[in-house]
Amino acid sequence: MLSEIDHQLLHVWGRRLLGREKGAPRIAVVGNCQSFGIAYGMKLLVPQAHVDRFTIVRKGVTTLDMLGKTLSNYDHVFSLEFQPGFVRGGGWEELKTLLPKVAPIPSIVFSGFHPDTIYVLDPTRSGFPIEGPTGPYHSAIALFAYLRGMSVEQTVSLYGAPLFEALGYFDVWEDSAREFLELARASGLDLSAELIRWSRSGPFMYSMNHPKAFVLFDVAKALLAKAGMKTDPVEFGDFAVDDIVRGVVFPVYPEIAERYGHRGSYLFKRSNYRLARFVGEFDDLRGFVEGSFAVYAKHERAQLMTPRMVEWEGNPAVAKLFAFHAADAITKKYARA
Amino acid sequence: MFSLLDRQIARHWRERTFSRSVSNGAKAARKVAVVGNCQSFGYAFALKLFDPALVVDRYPLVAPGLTDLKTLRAALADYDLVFSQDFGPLILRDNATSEALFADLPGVIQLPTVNFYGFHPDTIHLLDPTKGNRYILGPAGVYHSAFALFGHLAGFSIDQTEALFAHEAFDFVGYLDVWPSAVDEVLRVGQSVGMKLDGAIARWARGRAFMYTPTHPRPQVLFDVARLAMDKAGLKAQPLDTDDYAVDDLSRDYILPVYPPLAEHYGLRGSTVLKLAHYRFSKGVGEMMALKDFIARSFAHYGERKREQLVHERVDQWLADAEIKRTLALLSAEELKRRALAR
Repeated sequence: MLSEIDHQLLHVWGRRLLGREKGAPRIAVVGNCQSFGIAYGMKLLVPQAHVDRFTIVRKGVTTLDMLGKTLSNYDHVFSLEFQPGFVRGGGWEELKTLLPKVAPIPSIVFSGFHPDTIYVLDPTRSGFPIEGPTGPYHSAIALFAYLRGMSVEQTVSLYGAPLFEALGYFDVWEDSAREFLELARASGLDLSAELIRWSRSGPFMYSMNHPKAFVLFDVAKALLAKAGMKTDPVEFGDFAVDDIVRGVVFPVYPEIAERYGHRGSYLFKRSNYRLARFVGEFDDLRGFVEGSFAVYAKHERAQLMTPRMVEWEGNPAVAKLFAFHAADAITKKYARA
Repeated sequence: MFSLLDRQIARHWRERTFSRSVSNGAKAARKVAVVGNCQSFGYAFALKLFDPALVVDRYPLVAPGLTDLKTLRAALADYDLVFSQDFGPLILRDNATSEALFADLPGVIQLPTVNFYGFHPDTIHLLDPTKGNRYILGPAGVYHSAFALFGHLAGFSIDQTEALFAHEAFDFVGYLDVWPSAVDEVLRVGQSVGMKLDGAIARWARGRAFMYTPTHPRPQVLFDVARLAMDKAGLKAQPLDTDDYAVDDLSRDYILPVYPPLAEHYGLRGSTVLKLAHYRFSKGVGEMMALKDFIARSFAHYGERKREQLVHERVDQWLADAEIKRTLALLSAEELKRRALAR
């Protein structure tokens, strides 16, 4: 089965053979789901450029040599760091050796808005991600409640400021910001001013690793500036194309959003890339928890033991917290009634 | 060839036959159909976003197909609520229009088609009278430039034509004065479907251009109108920051710039870059086109057509009036001189 990058390499080579390439300078962007936004931003900033994007999200038949040979024809190559395994013959480190001119793109990961989000990587299947209603993104609270044998109603009642506070969900911003800026600095970029600007505009992430389009545009701008390229003045909002919003939107819970002066919601958007056919589907909190439980029920306990679950299971205080807050919420509910 | 509407009708009958409805005694979700043009995705998405419990299907009317009024009406009868924009003949096989649908299916909640020329007064559509008034597709699809067509027909060079995209020429032909009439048109269309859009349009006008092209609004516009439509239908729209969920079908199509003379007039930044339509993100990032390139490609395109195919009332009026032609030639020359001296 051919992956995205296999198709893209075939496309590029086909175009070269037919002499259908135009535009200068020639720019290549290699990366994951964030690469479209960065490549599109570069095209917008340098409209006369020829910009190609190579997506590394699944294992394919492409070898590192093939990729290196293809990329060597570009004037500028920008790449996110990628692990060995996606491309045969190596990862980012090997690509850098093969192609010293490649410039690193920082991976945009920011958990400040989504402290509850976790991946469930199945240890019995070499870390293969288990997918729930919102794809690979799961709620740690939902999973832990499931593992504790709680009902859907009990679990839904857990989502609120008291438990978030107890779990430290309101205290993750500083660490997330520091980690994000360190990652950017490792790629030679100082994005501290950008981070402040983004933060003021509202939740700038759809999920912990899916930024809004304007974030990727700003990163593209910083990368081009670092490469010494002249860019056109352009208002990104006027030309904003957002690929990532077609995927999952994991909500910023209202109690967390309020801390940062935003509204937030419990509306979980499922991914939908076929806009011509469907408007897509959403889940409210109950629907999301039900959907998550249905997925977990199909797995063995050992498959669901993420590092956070192992840590919480090992700490009796967390189990007590869950038990107390679930009971307390139900007490309050019936006391009101 | 099946149209998107034909495919949706087929999907509907398939789903109806193999019923996706709830049969376990639970309360069935309300089913909503949205019928309309390229703006209908935004409306349908907004309805779903504001009330996720709704089952929302979209019936896109963007190209002629095999479906006739009877078939469409029969499908729509299965819905609890039907929202629809106006549509003309040439879409349904029997050339029926929205008027016939509304007469046939009482209770349809009408949605306005938001067209607004205030940001793109130079943009025109060309219909080929020698081919049954079919749209002529140029380098920016259905969107043409009146100045480019005028330049081509008046024998201007590409540079001369590009020099028309300056303050004086914009002022002379009235492009700087279109805002009030463009607003009035939106308000009129709103009123025709029972919606008061005064407040909404004032909100949209803050900040950047709220249209990608004269016929393609930004999501915020469609979100706001959808809220009003839900209100009319007695549906409750949940409060939400729509920026967090702004799936935008129309931004994948052409995005036309607000040219600098008009942008300055409105206090916006403006641009001379056109974004071309690009729907396959996995294949590439798409292409942009500079104004000069757009004019050059338009000239090449018009050069392949006969004069009688290139008909537009405004441009023909300019061409027929020697004084207008002379003034535009002079303004273009002045602008070229200014640019030469500025270098």
